[in-house]
Amino acid sequence: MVDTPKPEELIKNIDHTPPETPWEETVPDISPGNFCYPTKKKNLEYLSMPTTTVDEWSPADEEWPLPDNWQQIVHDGFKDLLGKYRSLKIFMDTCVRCGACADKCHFFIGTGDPKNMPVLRAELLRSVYRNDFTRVGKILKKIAGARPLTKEVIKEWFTYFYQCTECRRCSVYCPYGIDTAEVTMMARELLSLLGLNINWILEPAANCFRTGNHLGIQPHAFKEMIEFFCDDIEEITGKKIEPSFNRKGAEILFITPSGDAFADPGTYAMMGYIMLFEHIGLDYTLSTYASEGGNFGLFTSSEMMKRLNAKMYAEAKRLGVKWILGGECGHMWRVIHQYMDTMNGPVDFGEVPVNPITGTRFDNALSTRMVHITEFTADLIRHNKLKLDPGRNDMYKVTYHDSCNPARAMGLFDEPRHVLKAVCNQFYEMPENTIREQTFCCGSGSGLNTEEIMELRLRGGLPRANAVRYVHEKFGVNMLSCVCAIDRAALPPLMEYWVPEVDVCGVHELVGNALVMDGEIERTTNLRFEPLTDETEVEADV
Amino acid sequence: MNIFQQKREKWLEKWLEALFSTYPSESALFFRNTKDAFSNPVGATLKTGLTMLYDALAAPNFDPDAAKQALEPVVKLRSVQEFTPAKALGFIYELKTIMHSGAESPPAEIREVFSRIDMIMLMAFDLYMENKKIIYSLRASQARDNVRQLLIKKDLICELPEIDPELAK
Repeated sequence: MVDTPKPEELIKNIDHTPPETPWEETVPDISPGNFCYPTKKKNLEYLSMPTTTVDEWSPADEEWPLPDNWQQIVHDGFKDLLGKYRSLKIFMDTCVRCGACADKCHFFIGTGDPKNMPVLRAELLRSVYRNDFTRVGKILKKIAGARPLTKEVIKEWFTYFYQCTECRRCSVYCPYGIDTAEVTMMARELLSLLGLNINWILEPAANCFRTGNHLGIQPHAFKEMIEFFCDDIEEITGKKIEPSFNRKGAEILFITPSGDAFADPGTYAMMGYIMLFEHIGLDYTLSTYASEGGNFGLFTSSEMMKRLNAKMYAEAKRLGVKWILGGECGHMWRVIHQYMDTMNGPVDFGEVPVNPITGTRFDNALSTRMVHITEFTADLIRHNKLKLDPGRNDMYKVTYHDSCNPARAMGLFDEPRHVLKAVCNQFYEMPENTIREQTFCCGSGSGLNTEEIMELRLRGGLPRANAVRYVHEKFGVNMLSCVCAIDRAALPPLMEYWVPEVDVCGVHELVGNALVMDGEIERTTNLRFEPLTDETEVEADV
Repeated sequence: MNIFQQKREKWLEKWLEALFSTYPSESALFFRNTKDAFSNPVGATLKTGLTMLYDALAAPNFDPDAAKQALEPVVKLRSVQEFTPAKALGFIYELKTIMHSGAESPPAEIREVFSRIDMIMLMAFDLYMENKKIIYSLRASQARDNVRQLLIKKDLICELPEIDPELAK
């Protein structure tokens, strides 16, 4: 009879311990499930961007389709970026490896992979910078932390710079203010010079460039989608709303992520916006051309970001509006608040935004002409311009996820909370070190919200989900509100895995539920067509 | 006080050590030492889970439900981290070597716990696969829903209507 090995003998053959090689020698695991699918060549061609040498390839391939002079391309590109951005040079030079950022990244916290420590992720780029651009690096090489650019380094960049959501939580803790998200942006820009980008970013960018939004919804279809929502609103409230499209001379242009037009639960937030504007009699229009607030150029290159951003302003100018009201979007606001002015600004249309209902002048939007919807709604609530019945949201115990970009890139903390506290009776905060400027990313930002890396997203989103679980267990929270379309797409699967009892919504869905519109019928359902009365009560009534 | 209570601290510490050693050393240090559960959900989940699991395994009367409750969050976490199934769950068997490593046969009370460990290993397999199934279905539904919602809303496809049970009679 064959001796059956004992369990302890069996496990001796399984090596649990990870390799203790130095980081420079630890090769990343580039097997399916660990990388995002690379972009199709046609997207690159449509955007006039450099392409790879073949149409179809996989990061799991041993040989990547790089042009012969790839090293020179990256070196020249790096040199160009260093000349263009003084900030990049400072970020490359000043890090003292104090480690303050090391344990702040949600990917590091969830994966335990040292290369997800922001300091080390940036070091992947810095080491090449030292080698190519500093005297000490050129002379002392490895001793000075320099390493030559090899194909393995390119593979490592592709792995880890697409494992950073550019959420900037680490930057909050950096004593030098190094913006690690910008380091990632620069690295992605360098990779893009070789055609190395991912499909989940490039396809929306190319679609946006052609049809005006990420999914490629054409103008007539966009209009029909909105009209479809208006039918739903009529069924729920009895109010017939007919928003205008591409109307010249409107006072305000409203732009929101296209996710709000086609993906639940963003669609309910869209219904909320439309109801709010109708109720206050806002003179606004929607554009079927600037039908996207999101800007995937931010995840590609500064040039692409500039081109996509310009479209919104060109449309505002063409329509002759005074200012732009922006919906619940994440990275759109980083582009507007931090980059737009130096890319396409100062704007050459309109006026400083003034709320036509309250008279509030939004001086903070002086140079961008763009106001965030929660600033606008909070202002209406503050001036008692809305009749609200927060009891209609009593089925929800709500918490609020500060979406990374509005929180850390524009300091939008209190306005959404002011709105939430007015439209629902039960609001609970997550722990202090997981909200406001310390908020944890959904784990899928910056174009990583793609299904092939679901496990990576779930472990990256763990710190956020963990805080949600805490308020769910402590207060019975069952609704996670947010102001970002990527969040609304990324958080539902995250919740389904970690805290399945919690659902996700936009802030303006709750506004739409609570808003008592003039002349509306008695509501029996919320915007999701769920009965307002508790089911058990209905049964009891019967 | 039985042997499991006497050695609780020592064995638990070794077990945790074995589990943390499956991560790179810098990360293991962070997982082990960062106290705040919100800054360090992995460390907190593993510590709480293993402590509860140890107590369930070493209890005079074994309660499989209590063991499962302790095991669930740990396996949920390990299911999404970068491990092969064997590496993700191998830590469970480590407790055997910690409790008894000699060549001679272990005493009866330890043998009893060994059989409980075997049982929770099987339980862990089930949990691990359940988690993987959720992940696969999340993947599939994201791919499907992306387009489907749009097609429905645009009336390009239509779903079967709800049948009114009254009319069906």
